[in-house]
Amino acid sequence: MTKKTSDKSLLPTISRRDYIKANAIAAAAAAAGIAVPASAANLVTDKSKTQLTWSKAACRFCGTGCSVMVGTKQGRVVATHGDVKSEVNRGLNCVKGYFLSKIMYGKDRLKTPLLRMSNGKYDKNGDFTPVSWTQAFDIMAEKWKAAIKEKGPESVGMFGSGQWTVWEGYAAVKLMKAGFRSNNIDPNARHCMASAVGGFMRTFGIDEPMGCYDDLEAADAFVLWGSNMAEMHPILWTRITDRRLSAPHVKVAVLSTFEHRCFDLADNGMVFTPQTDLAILNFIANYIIQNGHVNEDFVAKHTNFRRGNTDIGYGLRDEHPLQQKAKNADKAGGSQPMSFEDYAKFVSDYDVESVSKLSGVPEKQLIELAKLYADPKIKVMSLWTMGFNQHTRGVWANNLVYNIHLLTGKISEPGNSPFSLTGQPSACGTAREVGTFSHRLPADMVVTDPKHRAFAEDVWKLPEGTIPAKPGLHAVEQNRALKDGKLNAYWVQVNNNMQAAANMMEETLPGYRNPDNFIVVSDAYPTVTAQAADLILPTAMWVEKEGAYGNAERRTQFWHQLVDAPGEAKSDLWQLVEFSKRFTTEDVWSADVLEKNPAYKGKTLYEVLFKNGQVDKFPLSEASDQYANHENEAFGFYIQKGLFEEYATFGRGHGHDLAPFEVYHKERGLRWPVVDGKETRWRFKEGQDPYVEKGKDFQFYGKKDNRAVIFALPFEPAAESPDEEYDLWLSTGRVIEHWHSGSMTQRVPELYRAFPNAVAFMHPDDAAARGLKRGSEIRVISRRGEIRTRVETRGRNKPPKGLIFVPWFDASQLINKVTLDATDPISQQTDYKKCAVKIIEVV
Amino acid sequence: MKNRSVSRHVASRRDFLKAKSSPSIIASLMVQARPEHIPALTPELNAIEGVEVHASADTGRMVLTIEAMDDQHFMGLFDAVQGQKHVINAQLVYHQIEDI
Repeated sequence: MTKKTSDKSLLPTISRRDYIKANAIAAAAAAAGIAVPASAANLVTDKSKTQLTWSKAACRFCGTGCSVMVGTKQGRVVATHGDVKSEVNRGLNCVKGYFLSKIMYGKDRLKTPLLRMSNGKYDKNGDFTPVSWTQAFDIMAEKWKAAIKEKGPESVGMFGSGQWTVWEGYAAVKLMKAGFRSNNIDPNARHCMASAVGGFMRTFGIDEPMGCYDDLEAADAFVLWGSNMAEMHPILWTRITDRRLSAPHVKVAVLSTFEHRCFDLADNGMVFTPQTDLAILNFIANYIIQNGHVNEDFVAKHTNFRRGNTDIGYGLRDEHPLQQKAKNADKAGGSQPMSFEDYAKFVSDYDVESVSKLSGVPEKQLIELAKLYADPKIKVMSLWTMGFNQHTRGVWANNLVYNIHLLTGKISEPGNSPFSLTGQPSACGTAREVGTFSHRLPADMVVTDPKHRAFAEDVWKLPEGTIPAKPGLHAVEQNRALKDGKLNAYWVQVNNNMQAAANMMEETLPGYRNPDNFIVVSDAYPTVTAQAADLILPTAMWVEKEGAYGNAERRTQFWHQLVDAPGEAKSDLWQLVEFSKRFTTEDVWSADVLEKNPAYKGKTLYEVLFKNGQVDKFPLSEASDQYANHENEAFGFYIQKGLFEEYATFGRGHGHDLAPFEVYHKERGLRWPVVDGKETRWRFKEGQDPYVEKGKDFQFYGKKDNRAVIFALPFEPAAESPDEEYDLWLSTGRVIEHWHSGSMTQRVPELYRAFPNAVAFMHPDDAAARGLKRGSEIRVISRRGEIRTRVETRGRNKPPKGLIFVPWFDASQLINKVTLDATDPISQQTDYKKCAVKIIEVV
Repeated sequence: MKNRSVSRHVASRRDFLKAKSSPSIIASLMVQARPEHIPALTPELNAIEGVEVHASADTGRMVLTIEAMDDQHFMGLFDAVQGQKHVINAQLVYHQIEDI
């Protein structure tokens, strides 16, 4: 049934404005699967009428990985629409997509390098002064060489991002781990996805989801564990809404520490006390066992049971009392084998009465939730993001949700899918797959494994022993080492860590302003982080360069450079590769390595890493002649292709196969492993995954014995809970208008006004008890710092009594002055969701 | 289902735009609601100045346009659509910013 309303603007004689409107309607109708008159339907592709050039690109914002069509005119992006050919978003684009055509055109866009100077010279306390790229790299190289000479490679470091394109992350890893021989490189994905990675590696021995978005149309039930998809992953939420509305038997369960927009669609909405998700997960396992719903055949053939170490601390500084008290702080990831019987006994403590009391969720609702997993006829998809990952027991939470899918065998099949959603556009494709973490190498390899290092050195054509074996400093340790003066030359790209890192006044800012340190920040805009730096490098963003991202369902997507960057702004790739020309091997490698390998003497890092006969293998003629490519012009070869193809050799034949480079410029992305030209939708399942051997049915080949691990892990309390003085939980997070830290979205002044300042969402009773009203100005105070903000008792986020929620996008209200830098001891990811605060009215 | 005076809204906006000759925004949206709510929801959405419902289907999907003078205006209208009771989701499909 289709209902249509008459519309004058669809008549044959139409103005340009009507024409654009008809175009917009036709595009929306196509995306919605609703018929429109032919006159409208035919308009979209008529280039002469629109005078726009349309090209595909992956969206810049979140990990969903939507494909958008980008309309350019006279060198500017002027329009975008959801890509109808995309399997991910099928013509839709969430409201974040509205920013896409604007994020490059903020008034304060950086167009030239800026160095802190006094009297024409670098001065840490000087003012930002425009300099040339030559001057910028001169001072940078001087500081890097001095640090390495004085203290060795561990005194230089880099902080990158899940917003790096694939080849930018790859070039950065090479430059740091092989060039400077320092593993001090970590991405902001540490704040976002590290616990998810830890969960995958611990349970399956291989990173990233086994299923894919196709599960959204195959599942009978959806369970959201700490994910506000309606605001954070709206396109996927649209698909869940469609599924729920079109199939009445479908159920949606939503768990959160406060009520948010997903509760509108929920059949079972549950608000639980922070940290008690661990107990709820164990209760479900117990319920499955008690009611005889263990899939015994699956469990016997495809799983192992292990008891994880407990009392593992909170990843704080060693001298912190909580660390000193923890029994297994230094063995956080350890575990021992156990039997199914012992596991059943372990979870039997988590009965419905005690878990209901602990979590605050009524027994009836807990049982209803457990049934979705226990009932063998229900295909269930679990989804989570930061609620699980930003958790001092984040790896445990990930392990525990896999437990309930493994006990029931509800995994790796259409609709049966534990699915870790991703926050950043290439947290998977770059941070995780390329391995820009301090302990990683490409394709799930790690620096601590001598075989992996040897493999990487072989691919990179480098002497044995080039890559250091010791993991480098992770995100939180980097800030601590900066403050302590151990890390002295530091480069930040594509992120706003000053604003994003927890406990900024005690840990982050002192490190950036430490006189021993030289801090470089590459960004398109003067973020809080850039302003705390000594040198700012102006950066080309998104479609100002050729790029590649990898989304949450293992889908790799490419785009071309569609417009030029303004002024002197250059891509991160150009910056990394150009900077490598400033160093010879003698500057950065030890004498003994060079003595043993004299062929490398006198060469620049550029020659060793990038002009190595592989990265420079593909001539400019292989690049498209329809699009500009600034990096190719600068270096004289098709550098993106060279980097990608060299990178892809890490994973091909090892379960991480990527297609040939050219394919991705044509396709709307492909999900790896791509074997014989075919993508893989469900891993570990025979008939779907080419790596599963015949007759195995399921094969968790990330583990040597082909079995996934079910872990016995208990509920343990949060690092800090409310007490008499600090009597409220503080949880932080995002609102949709201000993705990431607002560094792009707040560039659009009108949008900034639409949600101008952060507020503290709180329960009206909590406000009344403190004599506060909606709009009252308050101080939110923790043991570490405070901010001023205003009370919001209405609106889209509705906390229960005893908890407040503050978004973190607002640079004028830095909530990370208040948060605690407690981390998951296994993943080193910060818990931004739990600390104790008090509120005082400003009078 | 009857559509309330859509053309009048558009005409007045168009006149206004012409008078100001300011750059303008045209965007289309797909909105989701429970199918039983669509008949009541449609006139409510049409009553928002600058918002038009063009089509809907029993899948719970509706096609809307927003015409706005500037970004702030657009965001205000988008929020009004999203915040309307019984709207589960509102997603953008197409938008263009130009002298129209």
